[in-house]
Amino acid sequence: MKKISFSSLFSHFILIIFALLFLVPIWVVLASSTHTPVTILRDGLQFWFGDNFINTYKSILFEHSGYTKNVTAFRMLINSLILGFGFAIGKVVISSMAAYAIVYFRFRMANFLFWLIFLTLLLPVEVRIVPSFEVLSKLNLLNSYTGLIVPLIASATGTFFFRQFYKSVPDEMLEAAKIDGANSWQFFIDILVPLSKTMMIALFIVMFIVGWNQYLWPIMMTTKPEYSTLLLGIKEIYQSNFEGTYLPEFNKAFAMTILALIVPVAIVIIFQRWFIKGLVDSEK
Amino acid sequence: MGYIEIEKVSKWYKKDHLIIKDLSLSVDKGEFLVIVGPSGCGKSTLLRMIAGLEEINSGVIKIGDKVVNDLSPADRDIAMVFQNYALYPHMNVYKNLSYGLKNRKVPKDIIEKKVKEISKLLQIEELLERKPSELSGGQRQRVAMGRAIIREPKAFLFDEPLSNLDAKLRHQMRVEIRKLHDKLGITSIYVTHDQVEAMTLADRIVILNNGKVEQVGTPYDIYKNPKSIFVAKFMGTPPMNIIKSIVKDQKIKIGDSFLPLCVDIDDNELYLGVRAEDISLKPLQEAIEMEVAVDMIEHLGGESLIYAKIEEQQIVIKSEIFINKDIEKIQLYIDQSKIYFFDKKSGKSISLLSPNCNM
Repeated sequence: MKKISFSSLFSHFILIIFALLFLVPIWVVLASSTHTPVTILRDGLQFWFGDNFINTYKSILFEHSGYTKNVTAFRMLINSLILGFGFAIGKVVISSMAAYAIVYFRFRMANFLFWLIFLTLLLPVEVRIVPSFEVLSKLNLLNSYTGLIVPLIASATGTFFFRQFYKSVPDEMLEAAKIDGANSWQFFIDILVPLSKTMMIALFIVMFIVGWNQYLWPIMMTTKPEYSTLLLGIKEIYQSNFEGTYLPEFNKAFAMTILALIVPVAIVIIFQRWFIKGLVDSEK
Repeated sequence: MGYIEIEKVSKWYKKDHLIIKDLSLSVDKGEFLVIVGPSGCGKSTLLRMIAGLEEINSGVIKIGDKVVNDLSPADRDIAMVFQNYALYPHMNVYKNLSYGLKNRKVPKDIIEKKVKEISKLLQIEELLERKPSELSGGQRQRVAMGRAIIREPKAFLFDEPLSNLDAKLRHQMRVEIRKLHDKLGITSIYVTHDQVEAMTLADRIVILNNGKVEQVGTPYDIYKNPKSIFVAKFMGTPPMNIIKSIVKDQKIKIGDSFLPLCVDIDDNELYLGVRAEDISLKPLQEAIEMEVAVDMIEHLGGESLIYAKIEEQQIVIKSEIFINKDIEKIQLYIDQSKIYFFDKKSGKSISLLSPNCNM
């Protein structure tokens, strides 16, 4: 029999403890979401599945619920997906192109401009949220996907990563492409984008999760429930639980939480292979 | 009038620091021209200026009678092979070869035909589906050349293409490049710091020093008639022995011997140059004979390099005679007719072989 060393036993023990710390609350939420509100109120949180699974999920996905009773969780899911994809794709596209301009078009003050962009890293979104809101309301973009996504897609972090990557691409690559008759657009699309593909995917995953988890900006931007995202939805269901005169429907709130969790998890699982490759691999 | 004409071209990054100084050069059609020089002499810059990758500050460059100063690299109709190959890592060999044609909107069937032709010529037919990272150094080099050849450009520019290869492969590729040139006959400019490559590949060699042309000529000409100490020392392994000598009463002192001097020079010193292989250990006619102390001997198999001193100045002798390593003194004979003379100040060669001069 293979000898099990103490250190390996110990590290597994630590791993299991932390895995449980992360997983148990999610498990409880998942299990409780399959019970009726009555059970939860009477017996507390549940550790095993109940028989209300289909009912709960069907009703939150397709029945109009919440504060105003005119939006379904399905609609919110779509909104969240639009926000997540728009946010992530927008960031990848904008920051890769910004970095391309900064690195390859040696225009005056390119470096200064880069550091100016980089400086915005020091400012959290919350600082500029009031002026951003003001601008968007004047542009009549409140309660729109454009207003939800566009103000968030400029990314100093992304620009920084792409800049570092492009700087490590040997100059001969550009020169060879120039001699091969590629114009600047072709060089970007044919050479740089494929070279940075793994990095783009890694950035996309991270940014999708950041976008998915946006809370403050959507809550300010959207006054109409049709534009509400899943994360806002959880809050709404909670509020209606406490302020309404109905029986508090904890199972629905839990179900919403599970829904809000599934998509990012799925994205990470699907793209995981490239994600790790993008972080580790620097094939050039 | 050459095919590629470089007229009074200068290049500077800062006004007071010229990289290329007022350089003129003409390359004939179909010629294989090698530009050689020490690192930092401006040879790569010159090549990149011809390619259009580097701006020209003054002067004119013409390719095939057309001034190309303001043309982009793609419009100059040249192809370049880079030192690190610069293959596109994410494209397979086929795509690497065809990228230039694709950008020039060449129809697909013609591209396919050409890729087939070129890959056959370079013996890379089996590699078309592979990525550059799956190729060996020599294969990458072939693909890089294929990418240049496929467009049938007016000129090939090579920027030290063999310096990343090991010695054996370098020799093999060198032979292949020359063969390829003889087959295709396309005007080529080849930059290297390796004088062996220069000697073996070139129709003509340009020796560049500090942004200036030191000498242009056939390999034989440059070896036999170096116009300056710089050229003499740069071409040939081991480099030519340069010995500082005193001139007195129209005679040049070398060791204990004297050579008659038949021209007037202002200085009382000049440099003698003699190649390692022109010093013999066997008695010669019309030779200067002297005994020297031996420092060290290197046996290279077929020949030996003997390091010795003449009046405290290091010289190297190449000999085919096997000499015992612990020998201390040696008798040597320098063929008088194979001694070069260089002016001390300018480093330029002086011809002492005027007809009325009896040595």
